[in-house]
Amino acid sequence: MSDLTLEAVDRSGAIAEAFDQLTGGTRGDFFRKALIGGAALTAVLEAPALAAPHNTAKDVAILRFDLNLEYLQAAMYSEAERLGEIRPRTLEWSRVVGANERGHVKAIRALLGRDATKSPSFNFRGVTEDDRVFTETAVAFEDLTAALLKTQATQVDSRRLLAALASLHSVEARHAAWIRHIAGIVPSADAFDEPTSKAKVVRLVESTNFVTSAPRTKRRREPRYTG
Amino acid sequence: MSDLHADGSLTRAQLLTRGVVGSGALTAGVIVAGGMPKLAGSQPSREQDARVLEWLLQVEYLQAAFYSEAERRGRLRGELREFAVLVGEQERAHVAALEKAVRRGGNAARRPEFDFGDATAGADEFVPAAVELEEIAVSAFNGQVPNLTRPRVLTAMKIVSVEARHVGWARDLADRNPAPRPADRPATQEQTREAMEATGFVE
Amino acid sequence: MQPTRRSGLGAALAVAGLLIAAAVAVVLAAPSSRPSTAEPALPPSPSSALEPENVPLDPRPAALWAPVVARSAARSRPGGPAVVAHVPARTPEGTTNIVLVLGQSERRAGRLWVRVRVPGSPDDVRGWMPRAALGGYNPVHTRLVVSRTRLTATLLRDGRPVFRARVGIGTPATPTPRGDFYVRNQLHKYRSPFYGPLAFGTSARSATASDWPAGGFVGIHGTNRPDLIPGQVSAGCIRMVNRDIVRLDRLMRVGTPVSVR
Repeated sequence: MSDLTLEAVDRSGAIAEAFDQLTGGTRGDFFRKALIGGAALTAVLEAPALAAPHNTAKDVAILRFDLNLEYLQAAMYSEAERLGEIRPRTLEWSRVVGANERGHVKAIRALLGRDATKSPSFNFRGVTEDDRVFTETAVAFEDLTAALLKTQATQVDSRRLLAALASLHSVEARHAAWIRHIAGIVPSADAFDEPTSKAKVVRLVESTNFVTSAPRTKRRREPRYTG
Repeated sequence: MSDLHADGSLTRAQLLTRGVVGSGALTAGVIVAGGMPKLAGSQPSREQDARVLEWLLQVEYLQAAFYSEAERRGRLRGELREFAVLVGEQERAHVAALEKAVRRGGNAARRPEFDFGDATAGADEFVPAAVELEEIAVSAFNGQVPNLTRPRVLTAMKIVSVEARHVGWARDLADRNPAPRPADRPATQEQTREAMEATGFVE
Repeated sequence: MQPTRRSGLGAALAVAGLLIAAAVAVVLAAPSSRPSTAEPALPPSPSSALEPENVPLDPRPAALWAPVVARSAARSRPGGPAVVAHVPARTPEGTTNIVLVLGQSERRAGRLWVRVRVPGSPDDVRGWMPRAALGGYNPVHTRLVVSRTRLTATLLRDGRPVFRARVGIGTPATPTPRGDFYVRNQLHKYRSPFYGPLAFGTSARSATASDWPAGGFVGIHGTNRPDLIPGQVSAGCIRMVNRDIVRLDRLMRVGTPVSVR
């Protein structure tokens, strides 16, 4: 019925992946061979929604970047709440917003399915232990996350993901207004909030030096404990 | 191979190249008229953009009028007054931007009117009303953003971001949790219309 | 009821309700003295497939640990002169040294100091280190309790026992020290069967083995003499049969506080 090759139609690899899941990975031959029978292809296309959602490569990249940013915010606010050394109003903010951001981590991981990545290791270098520095850093991150989500909203392939990003974006803006209010800065400085680039976010993260390598506490080495 | 069947629906070839896979994620550019399974929403277009923005303009009119009247009546003090003045300025800027986007003159006589009663008269009623209106705006915009073409998606996000800041600010002023949920729920046009009517400001 | 100018929008919304049902777009009305009745019918947009819930914080951890990034002195007061312990950046086993973080901080002369627990004698000591000498904070939810009288080791997770094993401890001449310690590192894939398949290093030092190479630190490890367990048999280390140390490895991470009673 069809004279198409899978390669020709499967731009994002989504169909191939779906096929793997159905057939246990005999895609190799199938992929290379010329023709796809109508019934087999229909079966692949009409497969029920799989456990791992299918995103285009671009959407995976966008979601993974968001996930890293959410990991960072979740970890920072969780640590601040855990240590309890910042002022009460900031601590309350950290508690509520931390719960939101941990929720974001869980949700984005679910959207990514098998494409989810692990959290980086972080060193917050005292920022979670000092009210003024914490507040300034939180303002910067919330403002920038809201700005980044605008850019990503215009780039994302899936409209369902666009709806998802929009629902997270307005919450980040709430966070930003609230922490600014706590810090005594005007919560909404402009009538229109501008988008920002991934590069600017990377620069902010790099400037904090929060991301570290995991410490090496395990080794292949002959023990010399007392015995 | 032709792109379209005689009845206007996509041929299987076009269907495949646009990447439909099962009932999972919906990718942009897939939805077509006729011959397709039922899908939520319809294809974004410039024409639909104009209709969406015209609708969101109604939401902005309500907010702008509310803050303008509160400022005019002059019964707010301190930070609440600053809030009303600044937020009003920003809502009026939103109105101007949306009027321009739908190519509608700034003729004030063509704007709807509202009855705010005591909600603009003093702090006690003003703050909850502000929270209510800003929540309506956030959910209205979030409900429509996925219906827009990409350039207008950005326009809408630039505005809803500020509406969300307004709601965060207003809720903190009201001693309410500014961010009770990790994700904001979108509203359909119908839901927004009902919410606007429920304020009692719209007749 | 006759609609007034003030109810223009209300009337428009009512019209919109009908139009939505009919799914017909409404074109902009011509300019008139009444407010515009443009109420376009809009389709519902795709749903987001995202219904996240707030996630509460994990239960309070049993401990917080941090790697040492720069050799530093732990002082009895933040910025003060008296040193309670020198804290190197690496352990004798070549792993990154770690300390327990106690959750107090103070600023002195522009520097942030934090309260920590570090290896000492006869057991861990508390002091203050510069925040800049430490890396990121890591929580652990487990605690190991070793009873020298019952010859058992019990692992608790969030306060509940999840592991228990019989152990061999130090002989009366070379006892396992009593007190509060923590797991500092883990060694594996080595050759010596004396230590079993894997070994945890602790902050505990054997009091009588200070001339032991590599500082005489007490380890928790497997053994090639399971027949000696339970018993007072070692030079200070806490030994368990190999099957138990492998089980423990699945449950216990570096940073876990160890109480020896």
